[in-house]
Amino acid sequence: MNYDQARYGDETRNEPLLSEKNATALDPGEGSALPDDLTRDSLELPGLSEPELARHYTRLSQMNWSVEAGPYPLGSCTMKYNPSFADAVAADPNAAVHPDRDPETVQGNLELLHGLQEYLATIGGMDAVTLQPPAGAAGEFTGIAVAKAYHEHHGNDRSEVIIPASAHGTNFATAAMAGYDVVELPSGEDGRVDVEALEAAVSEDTAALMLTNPNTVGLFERDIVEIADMVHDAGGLLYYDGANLNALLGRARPGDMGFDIMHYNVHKTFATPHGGGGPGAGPVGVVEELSEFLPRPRVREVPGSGGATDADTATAADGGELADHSHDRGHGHADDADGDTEYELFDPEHSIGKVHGFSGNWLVLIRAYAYIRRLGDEGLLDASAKATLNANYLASLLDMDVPYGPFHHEFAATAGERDAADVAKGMLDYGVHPPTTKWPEMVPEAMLTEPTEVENKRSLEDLAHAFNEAFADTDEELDAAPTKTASRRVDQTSAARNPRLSWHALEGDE
Amino acid sequence: MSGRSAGTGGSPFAPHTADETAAMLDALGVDDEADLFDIPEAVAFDGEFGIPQRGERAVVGDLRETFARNDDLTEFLGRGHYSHYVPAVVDDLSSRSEFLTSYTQYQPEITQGFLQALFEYQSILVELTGLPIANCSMYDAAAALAEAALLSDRVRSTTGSTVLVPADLRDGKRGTLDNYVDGSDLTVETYPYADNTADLDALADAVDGDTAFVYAESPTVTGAIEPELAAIGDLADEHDALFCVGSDPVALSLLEEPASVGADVVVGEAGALGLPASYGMGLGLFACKEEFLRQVPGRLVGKSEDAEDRRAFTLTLQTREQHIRKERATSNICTNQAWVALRAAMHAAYLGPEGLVGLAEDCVRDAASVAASLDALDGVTAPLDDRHHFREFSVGVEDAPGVAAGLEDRGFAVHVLDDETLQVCVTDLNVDAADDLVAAFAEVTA
Repeated sequence: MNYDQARYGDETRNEPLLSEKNATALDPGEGSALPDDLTRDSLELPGLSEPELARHYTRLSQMNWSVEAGPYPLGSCTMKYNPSFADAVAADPNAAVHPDRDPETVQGNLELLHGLQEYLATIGGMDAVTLQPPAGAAGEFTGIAVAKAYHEHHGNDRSEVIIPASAHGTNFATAAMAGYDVVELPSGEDGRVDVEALEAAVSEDTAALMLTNPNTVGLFERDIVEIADMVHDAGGLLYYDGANLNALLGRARPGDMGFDIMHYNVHKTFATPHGGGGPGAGPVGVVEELSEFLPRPRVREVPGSGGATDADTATAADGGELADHSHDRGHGHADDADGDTEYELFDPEHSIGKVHGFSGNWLVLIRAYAYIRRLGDEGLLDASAKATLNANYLASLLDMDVPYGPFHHEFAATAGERDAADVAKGMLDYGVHPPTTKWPEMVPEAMLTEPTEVENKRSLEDLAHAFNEAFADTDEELDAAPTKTASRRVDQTSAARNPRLSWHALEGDE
Repeated sequence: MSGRSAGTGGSPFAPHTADETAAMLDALGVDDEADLFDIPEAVAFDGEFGIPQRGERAVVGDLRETFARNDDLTEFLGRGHYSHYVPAVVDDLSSRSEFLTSYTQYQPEITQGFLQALFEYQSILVELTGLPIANCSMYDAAAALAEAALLSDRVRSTTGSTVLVPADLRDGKRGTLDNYVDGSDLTVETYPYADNTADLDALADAVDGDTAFVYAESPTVTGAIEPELAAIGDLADEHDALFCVGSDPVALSLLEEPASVGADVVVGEAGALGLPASYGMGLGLFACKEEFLRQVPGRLVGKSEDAEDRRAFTLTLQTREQHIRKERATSNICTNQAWVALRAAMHAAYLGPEGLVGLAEDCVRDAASVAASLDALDGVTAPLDDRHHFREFSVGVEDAPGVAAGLEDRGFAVHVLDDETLQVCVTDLNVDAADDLVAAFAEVTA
């Protein structure tokens, strides 16, 4: 398939900046109700009429790639199609409330949060879940903070977190942020954790091992039970990075593999739009003995209310004090008129506290809940089936070498003697987004590819065509690529050498 | 069989026909999808979560019913989460799928639209704060404050290890800050408020050579406009501590720009523009001085040129980030709030400088006017301090929980601060109901 992206503007610039369309300066203090010493003297900002605004952003949108435009096979990013019905549900005005509302007056929101906690716990094989972390990396941080609180509570002084070399960079940054020393674990010859190297690395200093399974080249860690035993025997905890959970839906559960803590990238696995880089949401699940350390507050059913049954609450490792989020107003809503189950907030007994100012990325959580309800068991199982089928089928069509295997939902092809980043630029003219390049480092000139379940046979063949054509291009052709996008090859070096980060910095520059 | 996955009980969003699936399996030389999985039997799961598949209409209906359980109250709530009317055009334009379903701009040539929009967002914050660098979002105000504190630990100009914040800081911010600094050498200490803004004398006693970071808010958590920002900045400066100001973009349109009172960093909740009430979802504002450029957490968009010498934008200074620097990154933030930042920029451009300043003026006038109406009631004092206010103010009553419950019965939500203090927040969204709120206060306190 060929592709031509819309581009606007003249010979020197694309669509003009807001500030180039219209900018006005004024003195905000003039005529203000506030004294002069509290107000600013000047403000210069653009203000566009609604038609101008609509054209500006419509043009910018047409100069942007999205999963609704075509394949977006960025490895480890799981860019799926985002169903429209979830957007419609998230826009329900009844859900648009302030986070400080008396919990008794927002039972609908609490019902959804509780339902999502339960779904995620079941899908991950975990006992308790917090929905507060606003992104996957924030989930990692929450999980490691919980591990740290657990060790401190038990008087264990542990200083290290072990992370495989192929892990996401966020794992390393998270462990460092939490104050741990990082012990990097080399990959074994088969691309998986080298069990002997792990044995040498594990010690009484080990706070946790952070692991992605399947790992970043789509390989399942077959020795996971042995790995878990090794870490647990040393008194450490096992952390599951949920980035690749899409490959495992209904096939295996981190809790069953021996993981104690995990985060879910609900914007990946459960398909909520990522909006140009965010928001996401990174709920964290833990086994029962860690639940008392989760962030506050959590949601639970009010015992004896409405439809609450033993079966419903069996997976919830609750406990802890009722949170002081609702003042006793002497006029409770003890009996919901419809006999519905009622929900309350509570603070886990040894909670680490807060990891978000309020309750997390609510609009993302709504979409994730709606998506899980739509798919159900069959849909979740089929998602992992088709994601894995697609990865293997696409890998089989490529002219490039694809080391290791068998793969789950992603694989890393190698561009070999070619520059993977250049091959990616060559792919841009074919109506596809290229894969993640040059990562992980265990595969030279890696092109880490994850088609997800939303591509079909024909789409995968088009994608393979783009790979193979670009891979076969001459160096000169690749250097000149891309030619059909809104911009030709962008000079990233000069942007970093001479940072110009606002339109103020462009004055006198152009 | 040619039905798609959805028709055969599969994922409704996997587009494979049964024939296509069969052909792909055949090409791979396996009989069944399950044969592709390389999972040891000991940890295999049978797929039975007990979650039934539902049709789209059923899911939408279920969730609408769920949300209908929320009580319909007119909210006079703020304390860090502010909602203003968001023009419909912002919803429409930001919902274009090219924005909504796109990803981080790792290939700048094909993502110029979003990169330019984020560059414009950064630029608007630069103008509002007066500082030269703004990133293209943190999760929320709490994360932005916590990251700012960690920044003070990384820069060479500060030697201390104490982070000073107001004792009245909102719990969510304080709690997040405590967690973020837990792995660093920093410790958090507080200074008191007097009359709902910084107690300057107490702060002067608290700041010393061990202070790395001083944080002040304007407006404060109770809506008071801080009159002594410049003096607080001087105190921080005298001890080589970073001075960080917390605010929001609507307030910044009118209030003195933080750079002019010596702010090194500005943080806050930028979702006051563009983000409707969303149960606490946020947009963390982060801006700072040029000298901290290489220590900034989060993504930055910069201007460059393409091979035709046309202006182009790209993510830049990525060597600060965790996918390159790993444990030496400035932060672990990867996913951010880019789409919310896009909406904030759209809302700002829709209002323009006059609209922004007008909105901010209303936040001052309406708060003063509603406070005066409440103050005229017997047994009600508002505001409880002698400050100018932005959107919100504290209210003294005899039995705060009882008054709040009475207001709730009459359809209004306000904050309860303690047994004798309430807080009321007035914006363009609830100002039309302010007379009814005052009448309800009169009934309840009579």
